[in-house]
Amino acid sequence: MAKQYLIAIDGGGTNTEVVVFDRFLNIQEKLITGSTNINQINNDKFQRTMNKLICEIEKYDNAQIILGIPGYGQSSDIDSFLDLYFAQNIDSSKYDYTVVNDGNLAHYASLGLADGILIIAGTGSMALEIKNGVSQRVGGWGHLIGDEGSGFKIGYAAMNHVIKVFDGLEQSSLLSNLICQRNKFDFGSKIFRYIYSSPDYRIAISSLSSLVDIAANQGCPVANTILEQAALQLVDQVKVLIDGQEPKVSYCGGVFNSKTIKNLVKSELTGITDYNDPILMPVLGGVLYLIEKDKRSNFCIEHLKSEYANIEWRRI
Amino acid sequence: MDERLYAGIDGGGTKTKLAIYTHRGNKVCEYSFTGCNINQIGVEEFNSVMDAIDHQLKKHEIKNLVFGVPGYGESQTTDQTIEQKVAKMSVERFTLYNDVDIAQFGASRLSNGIHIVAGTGSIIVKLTENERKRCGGYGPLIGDEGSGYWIGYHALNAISKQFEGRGPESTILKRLKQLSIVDEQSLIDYVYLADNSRVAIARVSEFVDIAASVDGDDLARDILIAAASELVELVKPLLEAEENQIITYSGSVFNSCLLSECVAEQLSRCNCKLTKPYASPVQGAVLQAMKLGDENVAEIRLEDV
Repeated sequence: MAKQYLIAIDGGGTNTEVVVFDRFLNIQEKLITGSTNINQINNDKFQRTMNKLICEIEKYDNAQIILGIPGYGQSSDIDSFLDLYFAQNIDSSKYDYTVVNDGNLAHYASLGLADGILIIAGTGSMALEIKNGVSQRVGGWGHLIGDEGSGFKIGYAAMNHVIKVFDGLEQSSLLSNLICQRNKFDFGSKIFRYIYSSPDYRIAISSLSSLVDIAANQGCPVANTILEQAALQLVDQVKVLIDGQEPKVSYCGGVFNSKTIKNLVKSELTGITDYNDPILMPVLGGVLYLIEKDKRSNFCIEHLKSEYANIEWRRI
Repeated sequence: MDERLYAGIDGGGTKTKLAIYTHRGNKVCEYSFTGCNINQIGVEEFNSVMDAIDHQLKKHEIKNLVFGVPGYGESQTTDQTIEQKVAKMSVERFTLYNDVDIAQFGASRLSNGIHIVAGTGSIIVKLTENERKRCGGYGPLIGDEGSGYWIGYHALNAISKQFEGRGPESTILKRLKQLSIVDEQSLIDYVYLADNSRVAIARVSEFVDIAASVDGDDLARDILIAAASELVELVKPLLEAEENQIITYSGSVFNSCLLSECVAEQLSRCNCKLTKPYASPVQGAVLQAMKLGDENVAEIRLEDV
């Protein structure tokens, strides 16, 4: 018997989003809560956040759930912890559930369940290919090894420029002035505190990428060079996965809020790939997956979009 | 005849060294303790390292102590905490410096000059009678160019690309078997499960040097040459018009002959001479303690230099 509800949970390092649809695809709820990235928070905090979330969706029993969890499928330690946690906390008599990596949800959403390559560039970065049900990634090594083209690496390049301006190695620029003004940096020790005392330095550094975009839009050559390099590094990750044909390619993540990045990546990949803007928000990729899994044909992407726009997020 | 005793402490992130010498330059004793970077270990742990040091100091009558403290001079609050603790130790007098400064004291034998530190991190200082200038030293998250961390990061980044088939083959990977890095998962575990990722990444630099010098690996060579250029770039803002400046160095990165030669070669083009350090940082602290104790340091030859 078909389940009454479809629930998609899109985990993330900053926010975790949940959407609930009934079986006629009417949206019931949009919930938002904190990080469920187990690489960033400890197991206890993960469980607390997830328990709260499971409690909220308990009223929708008889549901299909898809959970996109950061880190899932990348390390056997994390997988066994998560598999055990979900087995113990999700009542399988009421729910059918599937756990995938959060990148998969974004892939389903951006490419509408088609095979192809998704460029993910938020705090971290990677290119994720799904082909005939098999996933392959390039990049995604985390900020201590790689993550080229990510928000962290853009922020790093910006801060490295600022300290070189302080040390007299580089000339001040619109970018360095903007970062110093916004953060009230006037000497080295404040920079130290900003970076090394922040609760999550990855977010502190990544958040500077939006200032790089502002400076680039105002014509700052330093900022433009940083964004150009980031765009080319993202393109390089995709190129490794292109094997002759023109694969479908799309993107997601905060770095693509920058028009400069968006346009540069598009122009580099047009002609060698079938490049498209993302079709849906990542969390809706989960719903799309569930609809397809259920083999019901009466869905349409436009319907999901309008339902999604119908109600507001509720923070839990 | 009375012997006057002088002590020096070289504080570091992983190790703290104490050395005691007589005013004639004879070594009385040397001890090693765990790291004392208060920003890394916190006040409580810092105090316990100081207590362990004081336990040794108590056994002697120390006329003067010079202590090179990691991060000293960067935050007033932290400086005060450290000063208050050291004031209770069993010495007649003491003076605190940044740990980089005592490395310069030792390397230059208390002369004015520029000093390059390239260990886990990197920083350049220029010390004269009236002035202290610095370049770099912002830590691994935004700087530390040319450091062990920087070299290690670039090597691991290249290896991650090698695994993905988008980078050149390098013998660095073969050398990293010694750190149990053999595939993608072991690379991720090595970096992200380490107690101190910064130190773990910096350790890789030693194997980059082996790959370059023993295997003749091009990628390893390129990384070391790039690191040398980064260090020289950090020196440049501190250079002034005067010719024939002597530049000293310290830190494990200079164990690489290739890198040292590259730095020396590039500095010679700026009319500077890279010179082997005269003494170690802890001996630099002892020498400065003697100078502040009005000993005639020009006449003193330290044992074990």
